[in-house]
Amino acid sequence: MILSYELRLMVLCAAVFLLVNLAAGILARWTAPRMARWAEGMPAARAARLLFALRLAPTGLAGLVVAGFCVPAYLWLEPSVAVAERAGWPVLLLATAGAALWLDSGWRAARAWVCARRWVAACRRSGQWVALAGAGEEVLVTPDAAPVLALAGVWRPRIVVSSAMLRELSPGQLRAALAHEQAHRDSRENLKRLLLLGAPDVLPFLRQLAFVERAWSRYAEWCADDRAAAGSEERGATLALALVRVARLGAAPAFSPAGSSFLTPDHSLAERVDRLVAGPAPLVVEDSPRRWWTRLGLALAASGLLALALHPATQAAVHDFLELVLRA
Amino acid sequence: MQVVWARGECCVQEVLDRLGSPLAYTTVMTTLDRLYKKGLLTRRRADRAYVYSAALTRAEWEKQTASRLISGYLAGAAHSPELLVSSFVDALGQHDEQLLDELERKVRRKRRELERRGRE
Repeated sequence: MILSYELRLMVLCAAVFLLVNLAAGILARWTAPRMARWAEGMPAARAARLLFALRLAPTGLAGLVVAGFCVPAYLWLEPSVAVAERAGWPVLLLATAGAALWLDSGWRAARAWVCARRWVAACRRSGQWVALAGAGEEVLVTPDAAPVLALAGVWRPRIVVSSAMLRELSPGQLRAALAHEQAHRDSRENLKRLLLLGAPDVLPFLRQLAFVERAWSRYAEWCADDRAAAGSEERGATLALALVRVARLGAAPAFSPAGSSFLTPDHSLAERVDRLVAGPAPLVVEDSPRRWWTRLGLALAASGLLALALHPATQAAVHDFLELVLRA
Repeated sequence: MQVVWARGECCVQEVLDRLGSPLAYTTVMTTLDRLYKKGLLTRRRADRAYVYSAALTRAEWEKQTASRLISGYLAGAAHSPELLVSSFVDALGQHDEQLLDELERKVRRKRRELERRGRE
């Protein structure tokens, strides 16, 4: 099939993205059980960060290869004069699969985002803003009879609580539960959920890395529990009691996969309660030297990659590879 | 099956030892052979005896058994799926209540311990 200059670039980007994402995804899928076992010995916050990075690594790497290597090499070395060039069927098939990969994950993320927006809008219509102790800013109180305590919204997440919860929980339990949701808010958990939903999996329409997302979600809940308990056994026990109290109220309505609920059906309540009761939840140290070293290492790696990507020899080699892929 | 799941691989004598009941060697051997023929166990020859291992994990076996039970129940024309679902919901609800009671007891125990420590 003969393609224009721009269309060739798009086809090549989609095909290369698929190939790199597939290779990195298989590697991530293979290492994931080992990583999950390793994460078990870590503090919840670090385990959550590790699994989040693992889930996004294939997409990140594929995006980096496409944006950092393929696009510059194509734009600088491919003559933009109107030359009709034939693309082989293999590259067209790969590009179609690459596009399907993005459509699948894009649809998932878009649907979650729309659901979250609709739900927040409905809550705003029926609820009112109230200042409650434990939450950093005003929370939206809705007149629902269902036990709702959630963080809704992606860009500007707000805590939503139903009047049923206000009636059932004691002031201490409510404060602990709101602190849990506030912890989700502070670590921008809803945005992370949306990123996970929008990150393509290994292959289109197959959720090979879903269990990494579930494991991340579990540690994210634990991390929010730890932050709400703030190292105090008393607060930990109050939060545990709040969890049991809310569980007795029945199931909360599921509003969007891009939202955080106080009590999620897919995480073991017993596990969370046992953890909170077992002992003093460790205080979360926000900016430890280890994190600064990690950031410095990442910055150095990014600079090295940029230098490599802009090197003429790399550009020429990448361009040759793209020509090979196009004519395969 | 419990013994094989626990040990991973075992021969007839090992199963007999683990059962700890006065069963004849041939009884255990026949039972293992039947389980093998039903596809629940796999076996390989080691020296002159067979070494058995489970063909399914415990979770897979439980899933298979449950799905066979439900399919068998629903196959009967007189049985309503609603009845089955409502029985499940009742059973799960009961289980949930017990679990929640247990968890609440645990938390209250912890709080009492904290209060006691606070007074000391």
